Amino acid sequence: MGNQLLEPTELSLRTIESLQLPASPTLPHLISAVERAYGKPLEFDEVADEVLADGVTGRWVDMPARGLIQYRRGHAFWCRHVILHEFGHILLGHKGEPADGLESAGFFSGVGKRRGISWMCRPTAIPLEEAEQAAENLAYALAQRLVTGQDTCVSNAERIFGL
Amino acid sequence: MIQAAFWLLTVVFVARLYLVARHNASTAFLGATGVGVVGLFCTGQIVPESTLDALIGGTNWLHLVRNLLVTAAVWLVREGVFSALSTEPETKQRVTRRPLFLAALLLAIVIPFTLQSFVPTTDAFIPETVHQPAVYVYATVYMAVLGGLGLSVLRVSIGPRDSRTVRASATVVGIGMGLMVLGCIDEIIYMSLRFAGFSSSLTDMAYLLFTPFFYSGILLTSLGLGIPPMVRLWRRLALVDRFWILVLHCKFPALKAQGERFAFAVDVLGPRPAERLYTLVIAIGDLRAAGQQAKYSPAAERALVLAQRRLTNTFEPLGLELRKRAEI
Repeated sequence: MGNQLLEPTELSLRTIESLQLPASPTLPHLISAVERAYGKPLEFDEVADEVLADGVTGRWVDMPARGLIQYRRGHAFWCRHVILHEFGHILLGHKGEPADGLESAGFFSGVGKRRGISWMCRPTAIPLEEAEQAAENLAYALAQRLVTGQDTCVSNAERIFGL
Repeated sequence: MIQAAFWLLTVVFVARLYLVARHNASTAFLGATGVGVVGLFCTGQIVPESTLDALIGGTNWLHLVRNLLVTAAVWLVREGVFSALSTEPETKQRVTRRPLFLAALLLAIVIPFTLQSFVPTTDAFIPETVHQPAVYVYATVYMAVLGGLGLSVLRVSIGPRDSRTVRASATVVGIGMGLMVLGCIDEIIYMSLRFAGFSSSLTDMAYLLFTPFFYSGILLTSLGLGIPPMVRLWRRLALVDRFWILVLHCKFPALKAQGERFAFAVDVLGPRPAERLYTLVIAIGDLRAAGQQAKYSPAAERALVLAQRRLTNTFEPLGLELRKRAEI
């Protein structure tokens, strides 16, 4: 079967389209687009291993005036993917409260309801639960735009020249 | 040099034909390269000129056929370059871009050719017959037409471009056309001197310079047109990505524990290698996080860093990027 590539779902593709990113987006383009969709500024924080629970690589903390994305220390490339995953939660409108019916929020449900703060986290275990699967799918689709899909963006001149 | 140009253009034509047939690539330069290949075939470098010319009467009609094909090929190159690179909106409406204009150019070359006193096939058609006014006009018009077309391509080709591949291709084509223009000017000088009855060392030098100028121009134009399909084929093969997939599989045997999710042979040989490499790098990061930042061997670490660099060579440091915002 091989390396099972995540095919972008209809939802992921629709979500990316709604961001109206340029043809060759960079991470700053994406952050700006996510902040616009989110309606709040985002902060990023690289945290030590002990800050996050075992098996959790990153988390998004939704606060009234801003959002905080914490990611586990690691290679920059992998950290970037963890951040893309949290972007997935934000863009898909996930909430940390158990009331939204997403079991994945249960891990932090105790703290999630305090003072209007909610949490979403990215676990390393596979298979991922529903919300995590959706966020991971969107993360891979975003990565495709940022990294692996760069070569497939072809301008009119490139197309005519034969690229 | 003529043979090198022929074989190079043939390879470019085959590569472009393959990409058009299999991968729906643009047909813009397919006609130009195809017509160019037939034109260069008519130079007598592959099959003797006398053999080919004998098939159409044995009175140098091959010379005309070859020149018409080269003119059509250069016009088609110009058409492709203008479609891709010209920024002026009115360019599309220009008379010079209509097929009828090409037909008029070809007719301007054909008419004087037919008015000559024909002689049997010769490898030195111009030196032997340029004293005839009809041949002089025919060859001068041909060189002027080709020089004019080449000059217009040169003007559009050179300049900054967003795409590195297009810039490289257009620049090489432009330089090629520039050399071809020099060849045309040189040949007009040579023919004019001979027609006027001059025969000196200057005439000999002008005669000798034509082939290096003209055919190195054709060679470079062929090379320039070959750059985009070669880049596209190179990207499709993605050998560098496949190499790093192979290395990561060897250096991180823990991936095997993920079962069928990462099968070695399919990963290395399968389609979309860049995405496979990305997925592998992320999976290795996840494995490390699951093992509380477990250390891998220095060689494995190095391989992981290099594989990531392969995927991220255009990125700034993450901390810097996260502080930036960009207008959308």
